[in-house]
Amino acid sequence: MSYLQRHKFWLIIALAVVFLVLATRVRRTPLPPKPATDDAFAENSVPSATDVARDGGTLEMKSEPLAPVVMHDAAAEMSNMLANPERNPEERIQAVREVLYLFRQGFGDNPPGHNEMVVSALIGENNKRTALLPKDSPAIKDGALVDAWGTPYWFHALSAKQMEIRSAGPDKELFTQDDLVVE
Amino acid sequence: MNLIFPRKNEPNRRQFLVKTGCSAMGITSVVNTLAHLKLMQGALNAQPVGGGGYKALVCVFLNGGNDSNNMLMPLSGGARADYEAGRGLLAIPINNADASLNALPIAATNIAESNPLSGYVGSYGIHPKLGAIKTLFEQGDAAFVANVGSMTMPGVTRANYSTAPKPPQLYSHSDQQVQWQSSIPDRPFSSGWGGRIADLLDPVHNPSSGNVSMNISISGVNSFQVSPTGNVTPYIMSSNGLVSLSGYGTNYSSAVNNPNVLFEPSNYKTSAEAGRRLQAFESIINMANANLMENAHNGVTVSARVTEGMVGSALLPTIAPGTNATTLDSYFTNAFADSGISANNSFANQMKLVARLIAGQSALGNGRQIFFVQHGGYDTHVAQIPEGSATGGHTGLMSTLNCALKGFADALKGPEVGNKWNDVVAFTASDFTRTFTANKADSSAGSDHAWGGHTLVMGGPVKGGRVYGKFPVLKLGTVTNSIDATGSRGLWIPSTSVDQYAANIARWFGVDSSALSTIFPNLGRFVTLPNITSGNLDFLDA
Repeated sequence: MSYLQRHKFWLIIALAVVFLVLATRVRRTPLPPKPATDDAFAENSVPSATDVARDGGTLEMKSEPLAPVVMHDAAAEMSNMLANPERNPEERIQAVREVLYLFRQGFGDNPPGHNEMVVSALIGENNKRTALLPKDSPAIKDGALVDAWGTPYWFHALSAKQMEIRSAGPDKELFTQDDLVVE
Repeated sequence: MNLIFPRKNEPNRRQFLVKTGCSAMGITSVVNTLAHLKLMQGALNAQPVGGGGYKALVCVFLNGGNDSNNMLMPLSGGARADYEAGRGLLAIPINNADASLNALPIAATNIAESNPLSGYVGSYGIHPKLGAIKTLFEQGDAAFVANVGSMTMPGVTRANYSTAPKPPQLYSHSDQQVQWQSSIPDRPFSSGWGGRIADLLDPVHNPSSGNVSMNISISGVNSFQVSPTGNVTPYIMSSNGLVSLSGYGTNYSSAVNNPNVLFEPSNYKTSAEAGRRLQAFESIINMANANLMENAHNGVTVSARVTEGMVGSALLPTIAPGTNATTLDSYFTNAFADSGISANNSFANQMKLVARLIAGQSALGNGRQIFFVQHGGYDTHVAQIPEGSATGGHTGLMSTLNCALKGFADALKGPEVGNKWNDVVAFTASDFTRTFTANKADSSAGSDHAWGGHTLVMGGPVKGGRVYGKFPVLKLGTVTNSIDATGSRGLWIPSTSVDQYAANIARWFGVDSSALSTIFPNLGRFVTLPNITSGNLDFLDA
């Protein structure tokens, strides 16, 4: 029986002690501040309803200013996909779908509400303060995400994961034959 | 040999797993709820509350988001001016040359209590197709509760809307439906408030074993009736009534002498092949089997057969002899007369079946019963008010709702049901109301998803003739006094939470004040318990 085998138990104990000491030291060392662009989705800075409920259910708004909005690495590319005039209307509405898909990857659910609320969430007014689109994206006009004809998209929230997106099409009128719809 | 010396006052492995497991999964409150329910059941067994006798609750879910802005509206005063300005082409008129399109005035009392700004609401009216509801309202058998919605906390305003705690996924159909039906919007779904009430009251009011479930759905699986303990599994029926085993004739007439007698050898028509076949089948499912899986499977089949027999007995008195109709059909047929809508529609058929089950209550043997029905088609994004049509769009929906509820009320007041009107409360719920503004500028316009909306409650125990809660200020965007949550489309911030609305219904149904916070864990955020009627919500006899 080798030395290692004979003293396996004590070696494991010793390794565990070393690990615990190191872990304690690491925790005591303050972490360096994270560069804002390091993380695709920034840390939570707004309490969710669930957090408030867990804290005893009192409505106490945070008085400190909100954390700055962090731009997602893909924001510029997304903006280009949505607004590039060289892309056809079908590709552009598909890009809206992809932006929402990316949003769900980071936040779990779709941004809730109508066009203006969706835009608000996409430009960083969300609990992770992360923008998937720049505020000044040419895809946003008067606070609404617009299609290839400049008409606001129409969002129909079916569930937390399922959103019907409708473009009014070339006649710029919703719910007519030429509408483009993706889900 | 390894010796383990647990340290004093430190949890052992099992305790650690229990504690961290519960908190990590966020189920502590659920565990507490279950524990509370069990304790309260024990207490209630000793002293039932809510009176004895029979009570039934009917949840009428208006699927898709009812535009309740046009179910109840102001007829005069500043509110009327705001109504017409905001609704535009969706507004229900009051002075149209075609009187059938005009809102119906309702003689509501105590308007000041529902008036958000003194003198703002002059008088109220309702949708022109709700004529029967107007009658019930003025007879004191119906009332409206204004601006109810799913909320996690009070205190949401337009100013703090972006950061205030709100239910997740506002404006999403499925999420808002579940939140209305669970009344716990800030936690993952685990049970409905109808299911929690049933868990609490079933052992007290429905003590006989072998009864049909206290919760019956005529509209499939729903969140409202999901029980946290699994003790009360909803019984789901189609609006056609029972679905019998096939091959034995209508209501087993080819196989048995009396369809309501089960497993009795002398009852089978053994001279006929169908009778022998049914006898053989029922002998097999009644056999004890060594295989536990097969035993359990047979148990489910036997249980389904027994329930079917029991429900069949309950429905029997309302089957008209010699026809396929029921003795209650005439109430519904009369209610739909002149509406242009057939009385044989899905929603009316659901209400007919509920009326029949209430009529057969003594055969079912339950002292408390909760029914769930749904009326679909309320997601009116397009052509909400189709020009010249009395049966399409929201106009048709209101007409169908009005006629089916009239048929139901008349049936319950009739001798066939044994005048159960004073034992029944029907209430509406919906995903949300719809945007106050239209989504287009022409007659094909509809409205989109919004938040707080009005509900209707009816039944003998309703303190009718009044509008409860607070009617919303119908001002859009940033205008002074506006309760428009965000933007300027009219997304009313609810003034009454679903918890408050539901708690008053639950209290009438027999849930003791001390148990309300268990059934509605967030209720204490909105009211100072046990005063659940605060906020002008005393709409039911206690």
